[in-house]
Amino acid sequence: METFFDQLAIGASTGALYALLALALVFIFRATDIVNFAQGEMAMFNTYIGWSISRPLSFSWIPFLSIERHINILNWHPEVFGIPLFLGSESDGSTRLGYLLIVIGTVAIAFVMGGLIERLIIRPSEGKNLLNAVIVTLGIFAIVNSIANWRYGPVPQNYPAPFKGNAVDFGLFKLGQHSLFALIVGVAMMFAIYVFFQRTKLGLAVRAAALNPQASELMGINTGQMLTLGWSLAAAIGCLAGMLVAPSVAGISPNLMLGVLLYAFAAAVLGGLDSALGAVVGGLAVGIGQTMVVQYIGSEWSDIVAFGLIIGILMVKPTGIFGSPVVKKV
Amino acid sequence: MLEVKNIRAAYGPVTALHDISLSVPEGQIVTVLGANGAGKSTTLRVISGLLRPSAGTVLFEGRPIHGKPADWIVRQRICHVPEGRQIFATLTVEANLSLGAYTRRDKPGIKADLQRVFDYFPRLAERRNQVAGTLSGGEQQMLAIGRALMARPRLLLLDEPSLGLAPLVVRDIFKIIRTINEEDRVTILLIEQDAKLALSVASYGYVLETGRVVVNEPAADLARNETVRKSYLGY
Repeated sequence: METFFDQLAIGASTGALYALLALALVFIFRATDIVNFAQGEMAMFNTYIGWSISRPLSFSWIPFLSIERHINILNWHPEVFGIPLFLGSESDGSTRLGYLLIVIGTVAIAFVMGGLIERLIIRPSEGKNLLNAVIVTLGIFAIVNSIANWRYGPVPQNYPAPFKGNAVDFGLFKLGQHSLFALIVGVAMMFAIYVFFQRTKLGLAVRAAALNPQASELMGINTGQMLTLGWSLAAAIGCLAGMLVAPSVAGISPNLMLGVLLYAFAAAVLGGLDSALGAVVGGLAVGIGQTMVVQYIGSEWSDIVAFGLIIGILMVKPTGIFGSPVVKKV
Repeated sequence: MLEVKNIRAAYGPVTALHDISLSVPEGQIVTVLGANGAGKSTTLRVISGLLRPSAGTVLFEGRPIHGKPADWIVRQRICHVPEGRQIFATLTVEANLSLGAYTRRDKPGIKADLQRVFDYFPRLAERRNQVAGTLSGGEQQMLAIGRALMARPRLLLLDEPSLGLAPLVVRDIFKIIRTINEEDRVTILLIEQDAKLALSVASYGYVLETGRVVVNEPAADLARNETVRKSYLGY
């Protein structure tokens, strides 16, 4: 029985990450009716950017720079008046403050990149046909994957994680520190997303712009900006998921998010592509289901069950569990 | 307050407005009559920035506003209650109303205006937490008007507020429209299929036919005008 609860906890942690990526898919789908196939690759690339920042940065190419020429943010131990700004550190010398700074920086870059992709690539290709934009996202998928292979190579690289210690024993189950961290961050992000969309004026405006763009303009909402914001948020959330996924697998590689994206798709379809609640429930269900299948049936069955599930749901209930019935927009 | 001069507008290859000129003096209710397809709604869409005119000018207090984006025009406090109401069906009544105040930052003022909307339409207060799509047609129209009032408009563009509603509900809504004009000093440009009703609240009227103004007179004269009576009043 112990392994069952262990697997349940691991599955919930994995599922939280699927749910985050599924939420990113749902945002974009709700706002634009586009299924963003590039979501995972955008996250992967941004995760690589985080990896680059976490490496020792060399400034020796700048002439006449007499101060420190190598900066390692990950191993940064700043002091204020001799008191260390300390959030704890790992045995390899990396600090949690350094990790936090890298996360903040990387997510900010992802936010900007997501907006740029919407403005510069998606918007000009929209209009005539929804399929155009979907093909464009597939194109971004392929191009980003190739660039990552060319720039970083196919070999997985170690990825920094803030908590690498032994598993925490909760009595009923044990959970690795990183999995626990991922679960907590995932749940916190979902809560933050909920608050943003349900409790803030800007979040309400993003929802309104997705529901009825013309009426939103009559309310004084700049719907174009809301679309850009939606893509930015989706990219930032995906990037955060990527940074949590990388340490729990072999490390970062160009194919980091392929599997995650497929399972996130399964989660989004299971919950209903236009439902945020569906994405969360679907993500957890797929994560837990996958872990159980691997544990009790065999890892080769993981994909078969997940995608058998997608096909089955699409046949029986095309709108997913929480999805609203398809209404043609006029 | 509003001067529309010689506007032309088209949907793709189809010209909807050939040459429309009209003016709305501050503090008044001006109505636009005409058959389906005459260009009434299109005229409002040009004023509120949903449609760019291909020629002509729209001046609001002497400043050109044509070709400006719709969200900018709302910030000039010109609010359009569109054809078909266009409420946010899956959001609550209260969320719809707070979206109406999207351009505003003055929290106490917004709260006061929400109370005023609820005073005008007590049914909306009762249903404030209900999803807007579940409201009756009349309540949805009240919500659409209330939502526009939340922006504290100076000029209100109303497109067929009586469409599809029971006579009693229509009477209530027109009573409120008159109050909004008289007490809140909101200037109104009203499109209405019920010409008699429209002329009873308006001070001036325009009649449109295939994208052109064919008659424009004070409302009292329009109500006596032989052709208008035959075509639109039915007696």
